[in-house]
Amino acid sequence: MKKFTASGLFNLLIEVVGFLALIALLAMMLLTTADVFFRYFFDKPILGSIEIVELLMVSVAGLGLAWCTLKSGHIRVDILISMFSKKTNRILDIINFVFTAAICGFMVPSLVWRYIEDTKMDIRTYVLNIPEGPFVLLLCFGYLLMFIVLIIKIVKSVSGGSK
Amino acid sequence: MSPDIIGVICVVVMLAMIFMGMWVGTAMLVTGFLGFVYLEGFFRAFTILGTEAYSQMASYVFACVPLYILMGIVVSKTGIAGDLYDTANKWIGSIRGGLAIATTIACGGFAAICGSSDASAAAMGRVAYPEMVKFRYDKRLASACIAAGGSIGILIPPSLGFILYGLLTEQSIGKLYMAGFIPGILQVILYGITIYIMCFFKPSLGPAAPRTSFREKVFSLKGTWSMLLLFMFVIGGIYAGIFTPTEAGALGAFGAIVISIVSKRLTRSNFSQSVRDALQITAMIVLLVTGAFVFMRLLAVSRLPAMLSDLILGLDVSKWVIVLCIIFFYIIIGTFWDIFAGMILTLPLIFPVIQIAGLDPIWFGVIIVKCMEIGLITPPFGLNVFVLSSSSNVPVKIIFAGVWPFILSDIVHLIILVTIPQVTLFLPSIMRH
Repeated sequence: MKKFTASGLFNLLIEVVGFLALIALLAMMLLTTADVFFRYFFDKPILGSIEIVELLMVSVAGLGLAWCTLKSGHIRVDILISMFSKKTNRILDIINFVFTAAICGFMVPSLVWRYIEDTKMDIRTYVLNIPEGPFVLLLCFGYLLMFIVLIIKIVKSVSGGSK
Repeated sequence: MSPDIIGVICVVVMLAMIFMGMWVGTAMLVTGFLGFVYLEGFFRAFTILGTEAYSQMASYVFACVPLYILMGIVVSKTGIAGDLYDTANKWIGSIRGGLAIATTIACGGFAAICGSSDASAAAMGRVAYPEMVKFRYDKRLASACIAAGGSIGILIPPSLGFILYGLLTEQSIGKLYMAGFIPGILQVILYGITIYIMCFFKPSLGPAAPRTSFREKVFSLKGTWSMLLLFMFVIGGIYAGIFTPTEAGALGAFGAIVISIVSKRLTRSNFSQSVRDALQITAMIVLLVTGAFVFMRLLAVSRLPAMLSDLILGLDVSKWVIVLCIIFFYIIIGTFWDIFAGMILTLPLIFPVIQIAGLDPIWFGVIIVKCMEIGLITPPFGLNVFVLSSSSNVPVKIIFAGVWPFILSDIVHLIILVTIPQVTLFLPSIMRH
């Protein structure tokens, strides 16, 4: 029987979240296409489609961040570091992960703060009156997952080096 | 310490972090946040983080990023590069250097749908290089025309370079697309002329391929017409004001998927991989753009861009000297850095100078994309050369030895764009809003 580890379950969670981001991306494409179609051929655009697309974009961004981090897909300039030894590169990787985790660590409470402010002021979209707060929390969740992915990467890098 | 000194320190620290291999988005976020803490206090910096992260993502304009990426990736995974090459080859392959000219035309066509330079170079490298070698083309010419042709990807719309420029400088992405169209076509023509001249004086560089009948020529269009029609539909729609660039991106992605399904080119695994790749690139850009906007907020508070503008414009030199320096700077940047990193790191400082100097921002957008495109094939680090080398196993040394005529052609192209701005600005000036 397959053994489930905490790390394995977390990776599964990231894959599920990534899958939801894919769904949001495709929904964005289909909604915009349908909007143009109805507007052009029936003179009846989909009400509030622009704001739904904006909220879907937040979902794509939030849900995709951790997934991209897990796949090490973020952009870096490696002209200089390609000349360094493997050990130096590993140390620089750890420093990179620590700084990124730290900034995610600030980003999460900052987005929670924004959620609280938005909820207090009851900020909603103009046409469909959708509350903005849950989508702020969704982005916050994305940065939280990214933070956890980075902590796992730091632990793996440090333990990999001590072996 | 004065705010502008803090701004300078933050720029230096950010560059140091980037050269030490830190993710570009992280380096901008960290230095932007810390600089803001110093200048405006912790609480203000703390709120800026969340505000920028959310407001830049909840944007209809930003939504075009994943849609164009998806369109490009779907198209590039369905073998259209081979069809484009085959079509161009059948039409002009029988003249001297014809296969190489066909390659640059196919690169232009592929770029028009794909929007990415390295993807164009990699895809065409796999298709065109073996064919040219088979017909005993000079390896330097065969490989260099692919590397150079691939670089057209970021100039012909839809281009991610223009989307990024538009987002960072708040310029119309539709106008930028239109501005890149004629320069992109012109570049294909100039590359064609370059190859023709080379083969005219030294026929052994590119022997003529066998002639094809008119029937074969017409039949070769079978695999490409639908995608080229999709491109015309997307760009024509933006030009005519029928839809916005974001809507065009959605229609383009949807159209590419439908065409690929109908023509039985899109398998389930292809499709799944395309959407995954699009998501990964989008998430990469999310971190970059969030970092860029936090950093731009810091720069605005530090007043560093205004100080830099005053300093440069107070030098008592013609604004064209400044433009030349900026062009040179961007070619160097393009040689060493990826276009995303290069633009995001430099535009917050350079763009205000351009605005104060009274230069057209749309024209300038095309110029810097062009400069970074030259950087993509310039030794010693031209990115396209390395991408092509890894996709087609041609040694880097051979490709670099062949790129010089194309760099010369690029310089001629750049001189035309700089001295005759109408080449760039004609279409944006007549497009419907």
